[in-house]
Amino acid sequence: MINKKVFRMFSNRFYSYSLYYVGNCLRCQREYHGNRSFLAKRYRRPKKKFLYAPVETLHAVKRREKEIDRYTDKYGVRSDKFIPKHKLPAPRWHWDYDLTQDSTAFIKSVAGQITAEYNQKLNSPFKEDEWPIQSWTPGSYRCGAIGIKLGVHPLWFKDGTYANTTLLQITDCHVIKNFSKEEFNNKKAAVLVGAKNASPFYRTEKYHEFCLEAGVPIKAKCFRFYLSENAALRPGTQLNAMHFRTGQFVDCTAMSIGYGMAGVVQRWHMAGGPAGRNKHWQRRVGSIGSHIRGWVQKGKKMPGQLGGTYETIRGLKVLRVNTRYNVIYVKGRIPGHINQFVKIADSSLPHYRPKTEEQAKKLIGPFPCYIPESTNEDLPEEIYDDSVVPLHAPSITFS
Amino acid sequence: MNMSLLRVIRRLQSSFVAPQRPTLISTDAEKPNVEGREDANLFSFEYIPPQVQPEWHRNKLKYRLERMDCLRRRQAIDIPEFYPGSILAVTVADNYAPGKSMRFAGRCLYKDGFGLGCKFVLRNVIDNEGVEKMYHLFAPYIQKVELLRLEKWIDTDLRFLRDAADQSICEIDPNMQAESPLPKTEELPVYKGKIRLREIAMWEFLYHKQWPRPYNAYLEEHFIEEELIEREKIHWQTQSHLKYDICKHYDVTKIKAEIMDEMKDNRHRVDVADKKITADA
Repeated sequence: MINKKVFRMFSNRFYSYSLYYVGNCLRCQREYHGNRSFLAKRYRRPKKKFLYAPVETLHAVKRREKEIDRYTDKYGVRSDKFIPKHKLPAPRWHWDYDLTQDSTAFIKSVAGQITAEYNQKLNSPFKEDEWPIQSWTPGSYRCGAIGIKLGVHPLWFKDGTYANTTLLQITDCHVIKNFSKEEFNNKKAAVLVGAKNASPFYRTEKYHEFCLEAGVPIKAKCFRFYLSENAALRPGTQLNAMHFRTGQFVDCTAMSIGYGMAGVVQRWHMAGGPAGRNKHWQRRVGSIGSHIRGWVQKGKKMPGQLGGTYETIRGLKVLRVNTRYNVIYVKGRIPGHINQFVKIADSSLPHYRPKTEEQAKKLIGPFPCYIPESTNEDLPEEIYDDSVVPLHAPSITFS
Repeated sequence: MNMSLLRVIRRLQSSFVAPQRPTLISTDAEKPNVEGREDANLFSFEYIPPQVQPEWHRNKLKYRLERMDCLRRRQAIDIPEFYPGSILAVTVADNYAPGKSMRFAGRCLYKDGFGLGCKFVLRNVIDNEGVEKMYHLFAPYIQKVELLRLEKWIDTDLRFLRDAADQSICEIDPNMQAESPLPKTEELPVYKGKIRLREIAMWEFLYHKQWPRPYNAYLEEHFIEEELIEREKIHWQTQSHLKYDICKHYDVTKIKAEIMDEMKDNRHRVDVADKKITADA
């Protein structure tokens, strides 16, 4: 009879010599290499699988406290407070946990009908007097739009050079709510704009109320734009690609691609140590300070989160507008992956802000937004900037 | 003879009808092209979208818009069908050249890219000096693309021709006359010749480590057979399992059929967009 304690102490080693080869990890039966002492502590007491519903005694409850799965960092730090959102346990029940299949199907179909009612409300003429259309004055800002990043492809200019342009599609972009100067902060007015229709489930009630008042279906993404009170828009107005003009300059904000917890070599392009020779210093920071300060300075470059933040690129030129698919071609590149939401606004750079009305017609689109009734019905499908060569045109010839 | 027998024979003879000879209708004559050499307005290799993982990084509207732009350019200019290894001459609009245009002839080393970003490189040896020039296929500064000789090599990346011993492969007479290419109903024969590379102590580009090894280059002269075998063994041990990775398989046959259907639709849409015909037609 082997003493159980002794057997458990040496069981890891015994396993490697046994006929039936079993991995080092008692729990998942896998080989592990590296920090053996840490991993051994983690898996030395595997969780018991109860075949029947257990009746826990007091002692058992106390013992189970040690076996509960607590969230562990990849560095082995366990905490109950700072657990990232995606690692929290998922909500226990769906909204239809106590409904039958027929009733869920009914509710889903009704949710589709609600959007139709919303669209009917949009065309109600009662509220037009409250939102008069005002003309541009120096020092007035207008609203922007929300687009989806489709991709990148080149466009050529008339002198033979070329530039890579990003395509941004503006789908189902509606104004949701208007905030006046006093409601917001006492300096500027603001407007909430939403894009891309989404499901009405899993949203807050407050957001549902906003959309109901505006007569607008639930949107997947909202952005806030600063406005001057000149440019207040009626909630429910639709924004198109014609909101922007070719030759205009634009600021784009989008969430950059997230790389998670990045090391110092990737995040700050540090050199690190020489490869191969030294195992202890290969991709590390090196020195963090000296005796001059005595402490680590604020802003010291260290590993941490890389990406997943909102970044703005200012001063991008709009080169081409497609009115059928509501696509804008913007010169340059934008942060974010494909099918990412992008906030497009008139450029805030001082060189591109209009000071006279003539400049306002070149540097800014129609103020406060594009109104389809006043212009002709037959819109050209593709509108090119003057410096851009349309691809159906014959080849360039210099004279 | 028995009368009943005779009657039976006569009945059989009268009711017997000789079967018709089956007429052999060859369907090849109906097809205007061989598979692989389709009409450029319907399908071309640069219309295939690149493989992208994860799947939600792909946007089909963007591919469609890009293909429509390619179609617009192909209607404005005649871009012939060519493969890496064939000889081309390209006239380009140049503001600083005499006559405001420049003509360059050369052998195509590689053709890479998707949609409007498709680029190809021509190489020529002029006065013992190798010259390479890269062009965008769909750029509007290209005025003319002439196909001088249509060849298809097994390798699609012919950059090893830079180190060829006999540089006359890339020496192309700018006044060369165009040879009429094979019609599209016939399959192109693939060039299987091997080219000797020049003698050099240290290769800048490690041909023997590159995998897959170029077929059209004769590497056996420069590298010991054991070395090449060892490289093949290393590749077999470390990377040969990748060909069984299902996620990396890119099956193009379905995409090709979809693209061909789409391009027929695109033709109509492009004409409507450019106001050549009304939307009702």
